[in-house]
Amino acid sequence: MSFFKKSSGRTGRIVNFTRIVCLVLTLVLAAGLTAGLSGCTAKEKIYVFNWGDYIDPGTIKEFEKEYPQYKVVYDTFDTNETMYQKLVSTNTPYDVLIPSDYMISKLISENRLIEIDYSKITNYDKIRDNLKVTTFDPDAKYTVPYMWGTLGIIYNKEKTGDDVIDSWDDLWNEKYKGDILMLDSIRDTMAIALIKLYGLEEINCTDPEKIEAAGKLLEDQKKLVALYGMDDIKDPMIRGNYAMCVHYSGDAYAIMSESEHDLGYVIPNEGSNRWIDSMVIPTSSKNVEGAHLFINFMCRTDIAVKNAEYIGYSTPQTEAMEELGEGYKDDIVYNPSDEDLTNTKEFIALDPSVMETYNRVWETFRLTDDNDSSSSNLWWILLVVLAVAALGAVIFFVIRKKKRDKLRYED
Amino acid sequence: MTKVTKVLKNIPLYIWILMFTIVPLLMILVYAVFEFRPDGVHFTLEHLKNVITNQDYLRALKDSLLYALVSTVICLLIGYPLAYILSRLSDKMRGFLSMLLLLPMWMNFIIRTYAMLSLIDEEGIVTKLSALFGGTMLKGTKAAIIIGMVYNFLPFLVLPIYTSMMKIDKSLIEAAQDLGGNSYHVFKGVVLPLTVPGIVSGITMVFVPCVTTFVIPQLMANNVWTIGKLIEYKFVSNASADGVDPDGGALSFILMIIVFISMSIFNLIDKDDESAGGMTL
Repeated sequence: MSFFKKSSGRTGRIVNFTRIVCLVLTLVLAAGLTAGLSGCTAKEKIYVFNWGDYIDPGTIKEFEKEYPQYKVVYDTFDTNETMYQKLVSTNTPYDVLIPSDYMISKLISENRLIEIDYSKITNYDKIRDNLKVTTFDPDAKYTVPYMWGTLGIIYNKEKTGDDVIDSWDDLWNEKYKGDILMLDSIRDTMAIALIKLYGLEEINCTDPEKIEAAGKLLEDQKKLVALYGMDDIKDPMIRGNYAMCVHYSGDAYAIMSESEHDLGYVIPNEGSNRWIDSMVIPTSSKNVEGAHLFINFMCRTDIAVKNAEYIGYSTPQTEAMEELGEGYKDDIVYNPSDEDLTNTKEFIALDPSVMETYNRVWETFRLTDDNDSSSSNLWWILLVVLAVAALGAVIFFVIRKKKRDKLRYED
Repeated sequence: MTKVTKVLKNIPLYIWILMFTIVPLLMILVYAVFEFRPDGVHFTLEHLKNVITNQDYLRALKDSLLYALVSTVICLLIGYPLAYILSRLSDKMRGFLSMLLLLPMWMNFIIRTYAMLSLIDEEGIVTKLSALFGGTMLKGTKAAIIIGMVYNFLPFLVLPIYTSMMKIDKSLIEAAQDLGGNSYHVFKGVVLPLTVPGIVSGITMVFVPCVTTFVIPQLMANNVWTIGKLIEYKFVSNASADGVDPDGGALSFILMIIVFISMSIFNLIDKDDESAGGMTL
């Protein structure tokens, strides 16, 4: 009740205050609009949409300094799927996108990308040749590679000893029971089983029977695997506690440089997956000219070097690779040989119904009980201890009661 | 007029409850029984049926209930005597010890679990000690999950029991002693009945989070699946670009029903005595 009275007494002052606020807001808005308009006429905007923390911010500043007629509007995403949602559902005229391989194949199939005019990308010839033609862009018409890496096995030479680790079969070797770390990631881990069973060609397998068989194979391996994880399997590998670990080359490079143990990295003989994040121009672009300029700028040697040093993944730019020097260009993890590279393939987007099969098979495999005897024993011991404790308590109470009854009787 | 203003004054509370309790609960229900397809929204019981008939899901559910049960019993076996001892100490000592009990709770839950993990993982001091006696690593076993749960939730059980013990009138105990009761009689006749509300709310506060937790099984034993971990997997790892995995909605719905049932059982016990009682949910 008092709530209303008080406020009515203050109404006058509040109205005055509101007026002032409105006035100030209008003035600010007007000033902002004029500033914005004048900015528009002076500078064209390039909308760049990239993964979070996936560019050296200094390179954008440099671009704006060299091309003062442009202003880069930079936006980030954290998964390919959110990028897709935002691209499709908002009206932002994105000019340059940097998504992953399978998402690019999806964008191409939906006619959401425009062909790149490679005559304007003068630095394109510095890009490593065997990264240009890919599964997701077979005619090399839409993409300019940005960063890339491979999937392989990191192994601890102190544990594997004289064994040569060069095949996916090594991950199914009984000798390394409890000494293997695997990726907890559907496409990557299923791909390993598919390659092992049917060869590299089936990395994007759509045949349900083959997918089922791959799931069975992973189930067989389960008893040998110590841990399925993503980032959490890096640390145990760095500390040298396990013999083998499947991971991407960028992470492998980090693991190996951090570890004090003698680690090696191999792209298995049967072939493997490689990922390439590429720069593409979506149909939403209203500044195609600027988009080409930006892509070309990112491929310039000094910029590519800066970017590679900042991000830490392999750069596709050959001159930049030379300039990074020792420790990079001679490192088989960071810069695999051409033979290794021809033995790799990219993922493409799969049909939702096929993905459903993948999900179902993966879930069955992940959820099955592996019946590890040592752990179930512990579990039973605990139960028995508890049962004994409960029994003891009951007996205790019964005896007490009897004693008490006896006392009462004697009285 | 007074009634109207009373309602008006409570509006923020109603909005809060609506936004953060009613709407989320309804969303769980909606995701469980409706299917969102490009051609519209359909009512379906398919997902609930999927969940109930899937042996893997049922095993995960059974396992999480068992883990929660065992952890709660262990918490009770440790926690009740601890609360009893705490309540019997001198003021100064009690303040110090209850602070020690509360101190870890100021730390983030996940960090606490990681700290426990670092004791039992490959390089952990517990693993190294047990290796001296031929033991194996605890990390990855079911016992590790129990250890994690007991460690994390013990204070939630001790505090309500401790509060209800502090509320017991000293003269009641003295009266029981005057009437010739020995310490066992005093405990069974006075202390235990008066702390039942504390025990009940303590059990609720341990059992329910134990059933639903996903961080502890994820970190302590990666290969073990509990219902919480399964739901987390369904919503986070398995989420497609198109939206939520409908089985995840159905799982959450069933878990919610189980939690409600177990809480109402506890509340039934608690109903008799509303005078005492520490922190009831």
